[in-house]
Amino acid sequence: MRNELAVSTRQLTKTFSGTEVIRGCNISVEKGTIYGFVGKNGAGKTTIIKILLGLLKPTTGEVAVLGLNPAQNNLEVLRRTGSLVETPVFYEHLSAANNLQIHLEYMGVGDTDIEHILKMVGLVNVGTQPVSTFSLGMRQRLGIARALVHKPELLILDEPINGLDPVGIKEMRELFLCLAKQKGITILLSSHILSEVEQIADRIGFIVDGIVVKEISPLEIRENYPAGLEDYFMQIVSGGKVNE
Amino acid sequence: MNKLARLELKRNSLKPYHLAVSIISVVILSFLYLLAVIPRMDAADADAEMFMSYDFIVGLDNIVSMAIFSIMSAAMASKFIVDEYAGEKVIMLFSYPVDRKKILDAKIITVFSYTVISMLLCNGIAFTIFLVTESLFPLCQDTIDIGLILNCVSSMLCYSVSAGLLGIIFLWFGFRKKSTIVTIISACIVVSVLCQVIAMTLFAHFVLIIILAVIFLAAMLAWTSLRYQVKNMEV
Repeated sequence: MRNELAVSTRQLTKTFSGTEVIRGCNISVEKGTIYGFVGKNGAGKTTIIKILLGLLKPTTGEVAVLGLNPAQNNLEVLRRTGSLVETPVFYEHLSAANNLQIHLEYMGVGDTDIEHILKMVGLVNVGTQPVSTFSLGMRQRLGIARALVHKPELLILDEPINGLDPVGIKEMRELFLCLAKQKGITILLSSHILSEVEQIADRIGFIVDGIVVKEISPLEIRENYPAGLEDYFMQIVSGGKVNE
Repeated sequence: MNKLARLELKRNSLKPYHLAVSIISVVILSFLYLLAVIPRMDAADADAEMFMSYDFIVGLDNIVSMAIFSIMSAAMASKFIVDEYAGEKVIMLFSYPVDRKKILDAKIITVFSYTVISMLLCNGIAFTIFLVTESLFPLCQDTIDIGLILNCVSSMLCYSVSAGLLGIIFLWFGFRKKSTIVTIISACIVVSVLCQVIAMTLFAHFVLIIILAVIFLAAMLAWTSLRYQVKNMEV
């Protein structure tokens, strides 16, 4: 596997109770880039994300995250990765800052400006307010803050803009672009909002029924498919183009 | 391990358990006086004679305390452990770069320690108040001596550790089904049978030692099994 890749999988499969939900999946995410992962509900996005984080073990195939096998070097992968998987959960009776403080202690990181991170994700003036009183959008912002606060090299975000309003979506877009382009953080994110993925991703992976059928840059899509990403997506999910 | 246990206390509120322990303390103290006053309520009853011995009162009180605290331990374990591994929190838990088994150990040690310490405190305070008032205004006709106090302390320690160990066994039942209800129900069933057996062998120390040894072994097996399950969990 090439060492400039932050994430790569080769012929990855995952079987649950005899049913193969990930089938020979190949992904390549270059360091310092944003990789958008799109597919229908149940296509296998979250399963792949969980395999990358070592939450699930692959049935067959190779996985490398930051050059490491997440099944064998799980703690090292987790230390260097920030993640948001499914709906983020928190310690409800604690404030946003206390939640991040506990996260940092588990991560073994001490010198981080929590207030600055909260400000970065647009959570200002939340003070000692318990997380149980937060709106869906605020919780999503806090989930992103938690993924970021320990200064990871790689961000793996499952539907990070779910529940955000248009202002929030724009702010997160700018934040992700800043993290990738200025700080060199690699970002792998899944989303159903195709227009967003198109605007921020350097490369998009289309997953259909457990197979990444195509990896392509938004630029290539615009050049070759003037109808746009949505039409391209519809064509992919119905036709099933296989990744070269 | 200390750091992980401290984090457990930081992220879980202990207030409900402090309240429960306070209420249990009052109940235990009241129960001691109730046992001591039984012979006076029906002096003609021959069975009431056994309540005239401090050893019997303390022994019975310890058994009841162990039952109450082991069920409290099961409730606490279901909140601290079963809930966290059964629900969405498990993803957060497994996203920390800390050995899964160490996090589980910290949780079990926290629940075990809280159970043992709170039972020791609760019974220690109740016995002290009871024995002080008994030395001034005795309800019971027995005498208070150093032997009784040593018996109080040693049995209290023994039953407190047993309550903590039983909590681990009940946790194993609940963890298998990832269910708080199973944890609590298994606690109630096992405790009601166990207390009957221990009560019958209250003064047969040899049998009691065997029962406690079995509880210890079962708890260690349950703990080992839980560690194995957590290590291999996929979420």
